[in-house]
Amino acid sequence: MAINQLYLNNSRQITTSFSEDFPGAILFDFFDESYFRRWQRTLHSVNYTKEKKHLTHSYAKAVTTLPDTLELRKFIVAITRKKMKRLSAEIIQFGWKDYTILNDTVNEKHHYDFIIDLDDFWDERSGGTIFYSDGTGNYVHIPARRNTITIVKRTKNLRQFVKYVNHRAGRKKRHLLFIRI
Amino acid sequence: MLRAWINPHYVQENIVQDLRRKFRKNRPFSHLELPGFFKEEKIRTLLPALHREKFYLKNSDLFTFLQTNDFKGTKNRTLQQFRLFLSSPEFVHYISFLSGKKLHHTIDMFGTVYKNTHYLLPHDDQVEDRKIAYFLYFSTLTKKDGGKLLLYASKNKKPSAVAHHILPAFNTFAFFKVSTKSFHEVEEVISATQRVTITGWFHGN
Repeated sequence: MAINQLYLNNSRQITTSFSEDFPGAILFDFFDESYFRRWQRTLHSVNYTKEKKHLTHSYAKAVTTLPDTLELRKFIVAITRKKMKRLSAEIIQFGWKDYTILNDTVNEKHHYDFIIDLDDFWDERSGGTIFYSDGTGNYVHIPARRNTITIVKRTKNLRQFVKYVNHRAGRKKRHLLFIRI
Repeated sequence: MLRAWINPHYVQENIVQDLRRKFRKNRPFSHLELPGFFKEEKIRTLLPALHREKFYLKNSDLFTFLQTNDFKGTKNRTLQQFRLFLSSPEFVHYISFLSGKKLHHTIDMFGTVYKNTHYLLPHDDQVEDRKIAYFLYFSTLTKKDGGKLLLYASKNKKPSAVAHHILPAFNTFAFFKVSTKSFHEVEEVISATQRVTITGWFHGN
């Protein structure tokens, strides 16, 4: 098994836990440990390209196809109820001075975010934290924790940002894997 | 009234004319940086008054820093007097002449403190009728402290690259014209030295 049995057995119930305030779920210890480590290894085998648009984001990105994703695909289909042939994902790497900001002009065409936290440890005092905002000043903070998947159903006003990474990060980088459906 | 508050150098006729030219010419967008701008005895009273104000943490995708409420509500007489001076017809006329912008006498005025790791990402300040953004620095920072005000050149109404920076120094008064090109950023403070300012906007029609 690649995915924690608890989540596999209850995938349909996960969506029923979505609330109006935050239509999402945060699932800790999501992958089996050895499978998670396999994913972590991809961090070092991909090529990152730096992207900087001052008004929207600064980070390095790698587009990747995921290894052995049948089980994950089934899980995602159970959550989203959308058919898909293959999964592609982006690994976003955040280092000192990187960020994304809320941007009203971004036309989000996808309906779900699946975000996998790939680092063994990330100190949130360095920034780099994911937030969701509903546009009324309410923020939901996604805790940084290894092997966690955050599932968010995107609604009209729900926007995401990753807080500026400050100098306390030093040379450390944060890695988040985004699957957008 | 100007002479009661401002360094006499900055009210000399030839200097004022020169500053007006400089404001227009300065790149990447019209701005001025005036070291030692206020009289020493005036500015020395402002800093302790500022420290008596309550600062609130401002935190969003774009920034993290500490800020007071607008001084129009302050009970501190020193800050009230400073606000009164900056919004006086004489001073507004002075800034209006230097900048070539028609201004009215409503201003915003806050205290801000940037501590270690605080920052403000690039933006243009364009909100409602803001015409001139201003900053009075109470800290003297070195390059090792961070906290510079970065001014961006722009292309197609988007910031392209940092073209100029202002390193905060005690009693430097700086201001720039708010426009579609006025992209600026407060670089992250990376030391224990706090970046303390009084800042705000002059408004116009």
